Amino acid sequence: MSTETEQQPAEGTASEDENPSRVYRWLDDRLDLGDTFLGKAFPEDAYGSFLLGEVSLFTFVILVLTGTFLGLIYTPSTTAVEYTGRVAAYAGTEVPAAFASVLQITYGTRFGMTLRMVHHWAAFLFVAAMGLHMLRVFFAGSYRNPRELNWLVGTALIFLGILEGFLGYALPFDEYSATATGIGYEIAGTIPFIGEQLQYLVFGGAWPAASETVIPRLFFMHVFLVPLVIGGLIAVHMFLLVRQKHTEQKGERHESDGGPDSDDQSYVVGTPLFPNQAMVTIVVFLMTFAVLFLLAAFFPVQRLPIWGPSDPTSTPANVGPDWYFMWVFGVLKIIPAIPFHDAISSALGGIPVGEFVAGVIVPGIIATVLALWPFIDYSKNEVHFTADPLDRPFPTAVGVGAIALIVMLSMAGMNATVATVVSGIVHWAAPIPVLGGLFTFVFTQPPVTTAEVTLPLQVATVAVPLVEGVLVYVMLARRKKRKGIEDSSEAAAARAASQDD
Amino acid sequence: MSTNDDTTTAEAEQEPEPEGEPEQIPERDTLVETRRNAAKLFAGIAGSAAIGSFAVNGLVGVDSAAVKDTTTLTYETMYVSGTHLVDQEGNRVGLDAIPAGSGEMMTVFPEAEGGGALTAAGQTATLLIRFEQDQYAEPTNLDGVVEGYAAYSKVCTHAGCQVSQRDGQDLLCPCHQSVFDPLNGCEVVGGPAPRPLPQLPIGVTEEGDLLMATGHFEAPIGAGGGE
Repeated sequence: MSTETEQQPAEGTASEDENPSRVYRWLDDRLDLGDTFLGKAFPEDAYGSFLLGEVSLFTFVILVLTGTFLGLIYTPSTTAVEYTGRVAAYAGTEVPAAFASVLQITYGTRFGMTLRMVHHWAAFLFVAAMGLHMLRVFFAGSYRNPRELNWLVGTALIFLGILEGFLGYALPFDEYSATATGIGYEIAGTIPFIGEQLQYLVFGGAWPAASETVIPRLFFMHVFLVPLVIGGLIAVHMFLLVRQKHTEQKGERHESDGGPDSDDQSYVVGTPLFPNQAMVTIVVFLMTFAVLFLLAAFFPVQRLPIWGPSDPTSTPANVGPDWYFMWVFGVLKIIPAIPFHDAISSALGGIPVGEFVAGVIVPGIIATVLALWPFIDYSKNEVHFTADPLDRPFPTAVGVGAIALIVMLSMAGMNATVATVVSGIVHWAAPIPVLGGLFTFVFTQPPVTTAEVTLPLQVATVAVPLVEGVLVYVMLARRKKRKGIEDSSEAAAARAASQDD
Repeated sequence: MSTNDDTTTAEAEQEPEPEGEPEQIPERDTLVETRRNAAKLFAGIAGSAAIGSFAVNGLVGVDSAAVKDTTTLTYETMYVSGTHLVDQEGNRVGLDAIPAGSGEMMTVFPEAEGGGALTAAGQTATLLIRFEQDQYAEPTNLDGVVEGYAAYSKVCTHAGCQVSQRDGQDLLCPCHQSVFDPLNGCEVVGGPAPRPLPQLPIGVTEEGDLLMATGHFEAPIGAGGGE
């Protein structure tokens, strides 16, 4: 990464004499590259974590490109057609047109399998990069005043990304996708009073009875409506970023070169967008592109021929969602029986209360706390420096607890796998005196069933995040007291505010 | 667009706040101002109401255009007394379909008018299971059990998946691991399901060799159960 530091207005640095490149001068004469927009300072970042947002952006671009290719061949219809393609298992059989067209993309189109795999992996990376980007912003405290608005936009983006994943998952109309769509349809219907209307608005008919109308509607939303909103919000996200500028990491200043003081919030330092940061950006784009093709080439996902087309009279044994939905799947599995279920249900118009709590209330609380976090951890003064997470016991503890919660819920979503693993451990520990007795106290004997791991998972899902959060808080609070430190970014903000007065 | 040129604090660089009305509003105009504000308020309410009604109209349009369930089947009409149980290919199920006392199960459907299986997107899927006749206990409807055969809806009462797995002799839904005990009226013995799987009372035909329903499902099938 370039060490060039821009401390002065861009007019000062874009001097023709200093710039050796004739190409740059030629372009500059015509396009006024010295304009302040192209001189926008990007933070220097020793860890590359500031590039996660760029990775999210580029995966979205790749999703649009590969999705365009897929959309040209895909048929949004569940009408039964005779499959005449190359997959022997389905040759001559009747399959839904959507399923047949995805097989056609995968096995009957040059480069089709690669692009479909890249699309799916890009969807994984899109959600993952947004999530990691959000964690970076969270632990660095970059959401604080005045950047709360962009945190809200980012929260909307990650949930729209997950929604987009759900819509896309439905389209091949295979066994897994039909099951997942069915669960989503039922969850939408559990919302009291408006549930049924919501089902018809989103799905356009009863699932799976009216799948012939549902699939085209989900296709429209997946390829047009939601990407449009995501694209618009990305534009807002980046507009706000340019307006408000990045937060700045410690150690970016070069005070020895006569640069600004390390805590002077009135200066923006960093690498200019053009040409320096643009080069980094191109490298990030190409690396994202390369990594996605590498994953697509060696790690196939969504192998439809194995699962087969949707069979509404059966549900496959090992059914499960993509990883970013595993935590919701987990809540659905471990939510305990709701007391007074029948009374509450009839009062709310006959909804299944447990499913409503697990599918709507719990994820809704998690999403609301996430979205409103900048107002929970509110900063009175404007903060323009990133914080060291170790200096902020409470937010860091909450962040660690939240990660533990999502991990535990995801494990609950994979409770069949957990049961298999526990079976192995129980089997192995059985001959060991104390340990074996401890395990047989909790579990009967191998093989441990999925029902048996429910209670331990319920306990662990509450206990592990709490214990981890409290531990982190206690340790960081002690560290803070021992070292007598305070959050340097907050301190700089307070000093800047007092100078203004 | 200004980006990096704030060499001084943002506050210092900002344009001076645009001044308000240059002269003070004379006191006698307070009434006029109040009226004007009230008019603005009502105009605002009227405008939002107009836009809102357009929006609601549009949404209702989307809603009414939605093709609702293509079938009019309910839990009370998919089986009636005398409906034959058929397999997926539409063959009537005989008394020898499952070995006696084996505890094995199969998926059956109501026979459609004129023959064939009424599959109706899985909502009609029914589990036929056979234990020994004396293994069943309350709250199973014992009158609806014949020759060790019992029938339950296959649609899970939790999230509408198909209960297609076994957990020992119990029935297991693979989606969220709800467990039902088929010997005790498919009561929930594990997992998040709120209600038992509804039982379908079955009997044999007059000829005594084929299975048929002797009534409809005893409770709504699937999640919710409000309909």
